[in-house]
Amino acid sequence: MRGLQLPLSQTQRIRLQRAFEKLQSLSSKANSDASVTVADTIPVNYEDAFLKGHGTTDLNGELVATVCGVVERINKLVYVRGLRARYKPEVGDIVVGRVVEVAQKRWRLEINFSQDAILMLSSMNMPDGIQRRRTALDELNMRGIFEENDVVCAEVRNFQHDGSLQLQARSQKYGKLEKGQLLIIDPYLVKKSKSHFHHLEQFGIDLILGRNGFIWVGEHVETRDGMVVDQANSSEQSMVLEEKNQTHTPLEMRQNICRIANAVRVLSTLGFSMDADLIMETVELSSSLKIDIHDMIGSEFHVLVAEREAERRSLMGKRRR
Amino acid sequence: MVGLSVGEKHFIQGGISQDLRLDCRKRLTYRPIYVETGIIPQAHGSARVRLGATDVIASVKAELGKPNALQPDKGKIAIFVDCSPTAAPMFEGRGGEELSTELSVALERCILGGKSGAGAGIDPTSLVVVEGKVCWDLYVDGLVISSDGNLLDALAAAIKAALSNTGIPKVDVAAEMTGDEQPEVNISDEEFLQFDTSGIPVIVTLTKVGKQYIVDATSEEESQMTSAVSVSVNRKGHLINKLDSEIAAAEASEEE
Amino acid sequence: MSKTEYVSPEGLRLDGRRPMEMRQLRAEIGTVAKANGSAVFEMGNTKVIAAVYGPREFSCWFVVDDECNSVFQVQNRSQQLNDQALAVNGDITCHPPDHGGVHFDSSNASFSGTRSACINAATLALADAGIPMRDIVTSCSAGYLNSTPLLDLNYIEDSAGGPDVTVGILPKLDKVTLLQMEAKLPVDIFENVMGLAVEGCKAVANYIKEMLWKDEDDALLKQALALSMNIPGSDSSVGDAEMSEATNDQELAMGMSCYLFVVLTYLEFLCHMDGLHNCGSHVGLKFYYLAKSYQSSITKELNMLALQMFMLNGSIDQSEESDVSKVLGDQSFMPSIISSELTQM
Repeated sequence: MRGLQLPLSQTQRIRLQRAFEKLQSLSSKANSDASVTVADTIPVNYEDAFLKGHGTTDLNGELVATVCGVVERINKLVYVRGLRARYKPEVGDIVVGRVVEVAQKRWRLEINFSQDAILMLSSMNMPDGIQRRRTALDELNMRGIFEENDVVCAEVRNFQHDGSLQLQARSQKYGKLEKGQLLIIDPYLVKKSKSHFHHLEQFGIDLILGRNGFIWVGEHVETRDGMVVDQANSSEQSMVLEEKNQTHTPLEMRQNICRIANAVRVLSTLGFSMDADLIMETVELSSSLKIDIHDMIGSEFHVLVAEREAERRSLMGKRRR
Repeated sequence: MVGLSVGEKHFIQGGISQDLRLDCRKRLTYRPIYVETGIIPQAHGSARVRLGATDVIASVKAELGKPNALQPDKGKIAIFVDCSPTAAPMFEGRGGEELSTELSVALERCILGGKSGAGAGIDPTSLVVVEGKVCWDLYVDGLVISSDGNLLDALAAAIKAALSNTGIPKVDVAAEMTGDEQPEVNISDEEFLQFDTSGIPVIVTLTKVGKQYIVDATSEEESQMTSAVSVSVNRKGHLINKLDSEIAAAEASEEE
Repeated sequence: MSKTEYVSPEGLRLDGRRPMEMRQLRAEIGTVAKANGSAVFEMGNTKVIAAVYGPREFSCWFVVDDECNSVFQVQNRSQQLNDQALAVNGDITCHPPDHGGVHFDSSNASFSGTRSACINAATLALADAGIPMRDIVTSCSAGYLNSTPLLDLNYIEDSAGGPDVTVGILPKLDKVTLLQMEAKLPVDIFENVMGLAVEGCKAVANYIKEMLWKDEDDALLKQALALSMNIPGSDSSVGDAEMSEATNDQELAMGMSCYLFVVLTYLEFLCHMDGLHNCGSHVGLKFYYLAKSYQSSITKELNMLALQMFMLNGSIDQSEESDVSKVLGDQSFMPSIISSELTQM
């Protein structure tokens, strides 16, 4: 894998190696022998009826893998789960995307998928909150809601018959994201969980783990009614901007945002999957050890986090038994 | 380079004014720098510099050539930078040419000095073999593999490292030649002369965002800048050249 | 020019290799952090960096930049393609609108060596990016100097002006996707040399597979770590029932029918697969190759050949080495121009 591009001293390298070995011994090893590379034959019983899934193809009567990955079998379905492909959307996933285009009655968002996703105007709540038909005036004012390069949080609604992806952002928790930063990590690190929105109370920070690998860390916004306010004050937009200029994020909160962002970066470099608890623990580890925010992305902290994770999992394993 | 939303831009500017940038560096902190030399065995000297996600390679090739008629006692040095599409798809075709030219010109000025040769980092007279007839032509190539801001600093560091890694083959000149005859030269495969790089400067770019200056901007921060100043400083602490904001502005407009 | 000894009487070449020996291979996956997939491939002193951006939404292209660290600067980024024809048969199953960009940089120009290294680097980068491919494409070159077939020519041997055969194959399918030669060779010697090159390709294929395995092991380890995160109650990793039958068929239909050829000629060439599939999707590709030009009339013919190959959907089955002559005689494979040229020797 992209080897950890960190300058590790000899001791650090050894410690890291040991931590990874420990983790490896604890992890489920079922998959390691089912890995395939491109053009490898997949061992399958040809007499049974089976379904060919993603990442496979039929060559000369044999089932052959087209990506490097792990062979998964679910009932009769045989497919190859690629290790490093782009995001594969599922209906109901929370994703964070960036608007690339404002088109007729829709926005196009880039979500780290092979195509851009579509957010229809009708799938978006109107600023005044009323449920109504979208008029031509609404279409003209689309930029008032989202414009190009805005970061938006939405949910996957469905796949159209032509293969394109549709999103919806009807609930209050979806919408434009401001006052924070966007981090991009590998999509497979974000697992489907009960909640992808995390409001970290003690910091007053919102953490949104998009399943497409886009993570948003920013100031907490009470509800997504911001738009209602803006629309009402559309004539006073300039004043709003000026106010913004003066009211930057306070330093304390910014430091917390940075700490959390760095925790996410460290975890993604090490390849651990993203989970709000894990991120919080990493942040606590760094503050308990009084590590300077900037040093969090140094090699020492990486090694510490790996070691601590190995510890934690071995403890959990023991507790289970 | 992906664009940034208004909220994000605001966030970046706020961070810089509060001395806490996106990756939690201070305004005047550099990203960790990694230097590797000798990566291209065929070239006489080469180096790779990684500055965060910015990745550049510099290589030096020396060929024997004829010195310029106007300057018979000096060798020739040419610096050329190439922004490859691997860095960003928009560099494909002519996209990266503007940026490449800007960077090449800036580096030439810094390392080779002005028109009169004042302030040069490399002494061209050290490259001459036989005055008026044979000299070394140095071709310094920079290749940008991955671009995340601050290309000028990274390239200057790479060139300095590559030149320090360069070994010019030793040349034996045949004893006697008359008039305009080309002398015979024997290029040694064994012995190499180390290049003297003590005079080569290091470039530091300061980018202005809002009211403050930051060092080593990432490409997101560069997209927010209003101007930038690049200063090249040599070992003696002399300010060699101050390049104004054009280069960095070119980078910014590319990113935009 | 005096006759240089490329192969010494003891059978050693200029760099000490045996005639059948390849240069040292080295590959690294994942060098360019920002790209979706990237690889560095070294064959001896030739080093190529390939980066893949995509799939994403715009037209797809292959770009090769030859960054020559030598006197000759290659500046020409734009449409100036030289006479070298490079037919890369990338079998890529794709979803419409599949698009991605693959970009190469090669430092140290060593003509045929560069081409092979580029193809190999591309394969690795595409595999790294997780783009579905029917098979990997590997390439190697061979030549004929001092009456000996030589495998994997280096820069000096290549510049000697002797014949130089570059072959690209799909190892699993046992098909040839690229066959290019400069200068002239008698047909039977050509068979030998081509066979040698194919052997070289297979060796490269083994190496690439090894690299991918190793890389996969690392990635698997990481994934295993990621997956085994003890989040109680969420075995969603197993529950990723990604598709129903419907998508199966759809994807397969498109997959099977998207058969992609990229042809590089001295013009931009947009490859459409309209005639070859029924799903209406197409992938546009432009292939630029910049290197020092290698003037040879036969390469012009090969350009035409490559185009024709594309048209006829002809990728030959390389079943046995000795059948090459049979294949050569086969109309659908090579136009008579080539065979007549060769037999004229």
